[in-house]
Amino acid sequence: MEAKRNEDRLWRSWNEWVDTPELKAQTQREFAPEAAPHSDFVSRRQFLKLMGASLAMAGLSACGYKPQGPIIARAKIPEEALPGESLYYATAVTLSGYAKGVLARVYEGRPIKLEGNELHPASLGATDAITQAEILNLYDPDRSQSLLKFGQIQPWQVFTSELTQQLALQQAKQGAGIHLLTGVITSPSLAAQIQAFLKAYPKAKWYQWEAVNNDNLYAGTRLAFGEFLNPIYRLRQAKVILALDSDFLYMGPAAVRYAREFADGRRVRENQREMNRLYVAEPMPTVTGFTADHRLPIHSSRIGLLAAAIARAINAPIQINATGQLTPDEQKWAEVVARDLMAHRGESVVIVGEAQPPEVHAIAFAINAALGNLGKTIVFTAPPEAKPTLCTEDIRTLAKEMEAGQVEVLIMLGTNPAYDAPADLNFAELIPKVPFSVHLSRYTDETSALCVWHIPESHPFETWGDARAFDGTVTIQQPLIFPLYPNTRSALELMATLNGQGGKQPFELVQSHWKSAKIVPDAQFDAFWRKSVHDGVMARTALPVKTVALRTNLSVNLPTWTAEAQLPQPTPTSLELRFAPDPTMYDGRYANNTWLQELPKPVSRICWDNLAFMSLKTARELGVVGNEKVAFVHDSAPLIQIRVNGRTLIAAAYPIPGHVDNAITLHLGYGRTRAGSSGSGTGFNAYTLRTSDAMWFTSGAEATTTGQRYPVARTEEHHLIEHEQLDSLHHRPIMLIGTLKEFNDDPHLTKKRHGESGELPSMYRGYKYDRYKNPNNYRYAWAMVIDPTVCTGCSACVTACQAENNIPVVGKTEVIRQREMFWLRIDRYFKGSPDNPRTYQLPVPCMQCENAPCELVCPVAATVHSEEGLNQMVYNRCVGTRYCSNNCPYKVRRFNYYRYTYYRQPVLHLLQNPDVTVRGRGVMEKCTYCVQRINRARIQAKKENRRIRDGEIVPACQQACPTGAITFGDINDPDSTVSRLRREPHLFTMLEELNTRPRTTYLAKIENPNPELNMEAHDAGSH
Amino acid sequence: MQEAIKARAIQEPPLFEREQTYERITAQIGDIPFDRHPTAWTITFGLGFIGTTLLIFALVWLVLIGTGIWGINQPVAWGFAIINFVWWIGIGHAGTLISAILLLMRQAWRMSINRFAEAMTIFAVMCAGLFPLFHTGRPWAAYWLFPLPNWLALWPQFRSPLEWDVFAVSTYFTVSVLFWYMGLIPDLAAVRDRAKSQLAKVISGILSWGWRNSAIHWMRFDSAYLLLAGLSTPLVLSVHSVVSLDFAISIVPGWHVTLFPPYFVAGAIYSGFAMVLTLVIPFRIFYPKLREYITMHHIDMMAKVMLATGLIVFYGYMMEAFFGFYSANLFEKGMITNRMFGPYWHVYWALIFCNGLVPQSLWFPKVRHNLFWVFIISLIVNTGMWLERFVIVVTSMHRDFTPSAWGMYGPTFWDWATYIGTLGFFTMMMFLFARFVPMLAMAELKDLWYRLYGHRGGHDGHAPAGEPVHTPTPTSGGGA
Repeated sequence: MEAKRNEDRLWRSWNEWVDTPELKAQTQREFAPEAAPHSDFVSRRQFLKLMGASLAMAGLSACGYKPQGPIIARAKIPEEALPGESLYYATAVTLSGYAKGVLARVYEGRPIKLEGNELHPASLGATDAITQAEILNLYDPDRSQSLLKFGQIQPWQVFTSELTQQLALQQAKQGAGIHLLTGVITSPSLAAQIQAFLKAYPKAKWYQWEAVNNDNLYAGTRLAFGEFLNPIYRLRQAKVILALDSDFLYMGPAAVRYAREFADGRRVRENQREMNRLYVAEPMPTVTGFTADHRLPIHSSRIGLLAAAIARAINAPIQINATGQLTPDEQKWAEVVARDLMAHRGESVVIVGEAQPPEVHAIAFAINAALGNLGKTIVFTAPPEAKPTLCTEDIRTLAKEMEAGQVEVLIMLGTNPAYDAPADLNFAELIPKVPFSVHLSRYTDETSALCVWHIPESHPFETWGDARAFDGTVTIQQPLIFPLYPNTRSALELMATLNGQGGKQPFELVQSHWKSAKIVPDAQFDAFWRKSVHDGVMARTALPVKTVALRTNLSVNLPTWTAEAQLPQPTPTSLELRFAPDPTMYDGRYANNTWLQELPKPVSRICWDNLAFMSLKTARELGVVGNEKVAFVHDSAPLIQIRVNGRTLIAAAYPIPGHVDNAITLHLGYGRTRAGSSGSGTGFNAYTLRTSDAMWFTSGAEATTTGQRYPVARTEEHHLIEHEQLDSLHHRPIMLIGTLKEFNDDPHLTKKRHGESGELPSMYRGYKYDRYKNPNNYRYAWAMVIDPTVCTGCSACVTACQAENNIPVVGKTEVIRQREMFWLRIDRYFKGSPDNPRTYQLPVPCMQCENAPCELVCPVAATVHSEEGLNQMVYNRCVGTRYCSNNCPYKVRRFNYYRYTYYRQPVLHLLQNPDVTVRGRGVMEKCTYCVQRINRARIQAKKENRRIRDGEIVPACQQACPTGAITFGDINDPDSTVSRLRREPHLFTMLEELNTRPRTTYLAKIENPNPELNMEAHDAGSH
Repeated sequence: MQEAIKARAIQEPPLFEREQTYERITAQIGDIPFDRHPTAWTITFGLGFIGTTLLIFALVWLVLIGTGIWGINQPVAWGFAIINFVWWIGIGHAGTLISAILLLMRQAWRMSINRFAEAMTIFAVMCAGLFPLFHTGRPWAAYWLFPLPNWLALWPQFRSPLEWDVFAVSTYFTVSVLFWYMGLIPDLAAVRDRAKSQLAKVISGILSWGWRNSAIHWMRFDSAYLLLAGLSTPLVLSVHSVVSLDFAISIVPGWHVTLFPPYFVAGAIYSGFAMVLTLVIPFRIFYPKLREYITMHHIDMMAKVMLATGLIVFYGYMMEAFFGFYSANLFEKGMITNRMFGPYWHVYWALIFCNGLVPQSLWFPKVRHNLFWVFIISLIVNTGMWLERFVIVVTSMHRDFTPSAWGMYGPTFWDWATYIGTLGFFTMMMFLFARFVPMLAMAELKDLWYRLYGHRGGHDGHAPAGEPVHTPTPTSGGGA
């Protein structure tokens, strides 16, 4: 009866539903609906949602999933797809306009997994965590599905007629009232549409806004070279790398490539004994900082001084006017780094992050020039963006015009300025002043709520498009699926509508643009097009390298704060406040992506929140933590009130080792109010403190405790703080750490540290794999070797594993209860003083032990040993005693305490990988070495009557890893890569003395410290 | 033999508070089910009933929603369920020890408490058995632990100690029930003969299997009883040894201890006697008739057993700590240090207080003879034994080998509800037992009386001079 009533209601007043208080409440729910499957029976709200999704599905089944237009499969397969076989299509995932090439695995018409595209310059076959999670955005149940005018559902015809009316009005004044606001656009076809529009309305204006932008970099190149330039680093050639407040290994459009090149210069093998050295100076630890050989915690505002000191030591051709003093330690650090840089002229590089003012960028370019790095480790191209601009200037101008009432038609494509524009512009209050505002976006977000019109945006996987990579290479984005919701449009389609080409298919729009671009003669275009679409890269589109020269008599004033007599030294009562893009939310656009929400942030291991990070010392001074020796921080953090320039924000404070004192780092991208059911209400909105004159850091912030606490989900105990008396980590054989020098003296680090290993006796008869010896019977012994030396802890593997293996998201409360489901986790250990510890990251999948403690104790034989040495998990058989998990010394097993899988959101069923069982409630699960991929390769090999080739099986983690830290293969083949790695002298087995004889082994973590710098941290705890 | 018992019993304080006759014994004990029950019975039974409904509620919710309603997590994947399981199983041990081992050892004082303790065993094992069943992720599939023939030829994994548990606990329960019921048959016959209502007559008649007090019945009864005692004796040692292997077989520091089997058995008897005392003392108050048969001497003996087993348990704690440090094994040392000084230090030291220090007061006869203190100490010991299992399960798991996977454990409402629910169920069952079944083994008491004093007490001449070992109840008029 109840259901009947709701059903009626749904059909009768859909419009009402959109605006009900229930919806508002729903958007502000803190946790994913699947996070609390236990909380309730199906409520009315959930029932409505279910019905809504079912409706969408009903529409789908009518249309089929197949995309429109001739798309081209990448694999060499027959014309028609084989049932049960997947097809791979090359396309690109964009972030802030920049493309990262991917191959999408499409199974029976539904994309289910993204892998890196080896041909793409920004991917080189790998991905980052954010790219991996893009597939979930496609299926997000909270995506907007309908056009809304003031929140009421409207058909397209109403919008187009209103739009035509408005454009006709504007036509008269040459579009003087039209303002276009987009994100950064690299897409040539979209840019062409915009240009065409601007041509038709010459007085219309186009602004671009990204909360995380390249403004400082462009301004810096303009300062140093006189024009906007796009630097590209060639890290493979760099022996010494200095990163100033830059997270180049993790953030930015080329981070995956940089990580790969960096790792290539860092791998240590018995016959390869050189590695690069990375120096990082930054306030808040980042992935790059945690990977560094030497890390200097320093305020963002003082990095300029550090750069200046290095520039002076190197005699860089730049005049720097700066006041302020470095501390003696910092001064020494600068000198040592300068010496090391000078010793590697032409083989070194200095990289400055987006947060640093243009002047610091200019100094770095001067240093690079002085070192002869220009053209070698750093090259320049024109910006790949369609219209390079300073975003902050753009948004400021636009706000001013809106304030002045000059904006009559505001068309926003994809951006969310109501949420992420600088706080001083009060953008959210300006939008309602615009008489005709249109917002195209995938969610009815904060900006949509304020606009007259909301247009639902297609996901890039549903439509045709194109985008440039960091070096300008163009990727044609193929649709992978028919649009899930019929009313959605891409930005390209909307622009075409504005240009009166509304009837054109997106395929025509993209193809005709490239036809007219005349890259190849018309006769060859079809072949060229086919190849471009198939490969995922368009040949000859990378931007040419520019020869640049530093401006003569280059002189910079380190900005504003040098104008005062004395640099405002951060103190406990006058803190430096630093804003940084969130490692998983970026600028907030991924807020409703539960994979990214739950992914433990690479540095802090926090999920579902951003916190106000600070050093332990500052935390104690602010009263955030007491002076007592706390063994661990509880599952909550104290809320503090941060005040800066008259703005306040309450946020949870969290001490993090290695943070600079007297400073607070806030990650952007949280505290959203209309992100969707999972993202709204998580974390704290740092944008409320961010103003257009201090986009990245500001000083004079105050913080006081409020006496309240906030629950914090983290996947690792905060170990660092005090464990000395427990003598826990330092001597546990978890990781083997050594320096390059030690390795060069004697590469047998394992033997040196832990003695001769060899095989220990076992009470149990080992598994007999004797059939291996039969040459006619292809038998394999799978093994994995992980190289923590190159692992940056970026967590791409974790999300890739989640996507591949249908791993559910459990939500914040369940993470707090330590029930996260990741099959692969990245352990983080600190060494040395909490002020600036050494940090080690270690990916931990299942060890697939030969003497597996788990197998022994299962009463129902649900976890058994395979003939190829895998510890198999038989979900059907598992009754859930959990003894296997208790007995696993590595604690890699995961248990379905509830029914975690998305069973109430049918659209998410499309996402599931059909090769992997979806686990129900009450069963144990764990890493299988991607056994489905092993079997896929086995079937292929059997068909061709051959052994599986080395490298033919690539587990999802290895596939995604940007640095190639993970190697998988067959150790029955002595020539396989993994066999060779297992013969390395520094091979290390985690907890070897337990004699579990894992198939997953590690190489030693090798560091390359500079002997001139304080070696204490490197020696501390070295065993 | 008889002489020896007699001699010893006569030297010791009396096992009967006053002179008895067979009839008196039957009347005093056998009439309790027919008497009006005291208000205390109603109140306590009511509390137990409420607890039972709570238990049912908690279990239904558990099956509907999942084990996630408990506080367990990774790394501590076993929590209250296993703690309570071991605790309840341990409690059961006193019953078996009293009925089997003390019988074989001809301990005369066991006669008046064995029925009671056996009932306690059965109900405790019932409570215990719930936990391993319901703690599984999929309780509806838990029967896969039994080696049931199936067309997949899928067999349990016999190397797993959980599998051994299935056999150990189910055997234990079966034998305990048989033993208890066996001993009840003559007494049920007596109840049948005294019953006034037709229903009681029929039910007790059926349950007493046509017992007619014939010599041949007694002969068969005797040998069967002895055989079952023989069967039960190894069980006293084996069940808790197997339960301890649930831990000892693993590789987890703090679980992987060779000391566990004897230490667990001693702990089980210890907690079992504590629970008998916890029950007997209030029952003596609720049913003053029982005081004639459960004398201060009994209390004293049980306190002594508690003291002795408590010392063994305490020795176990000391050895655990000693090995932790002496082994020079990093993980063992880390484990014991963490137990003593880690986040659960208070639980560990509370355990030492409850099980190590408090029982030492039982060295003093004055304490042993003070019912109030003995009762309080029995409660403390029960708590201590529960804490011991908490320490073993939780502190070993929450910080084991890999520091990155360390965590904390805390029970939820549902953990407590299930635990309190089983306490309620146990109480309810004990009081139902008191309501419907003779609480003390009448036949055995009469036998004991005969052995100690012959027919000295038969002053009213009603006691027929019957068969010397087993004396027929005066009122039993023959077959049903």
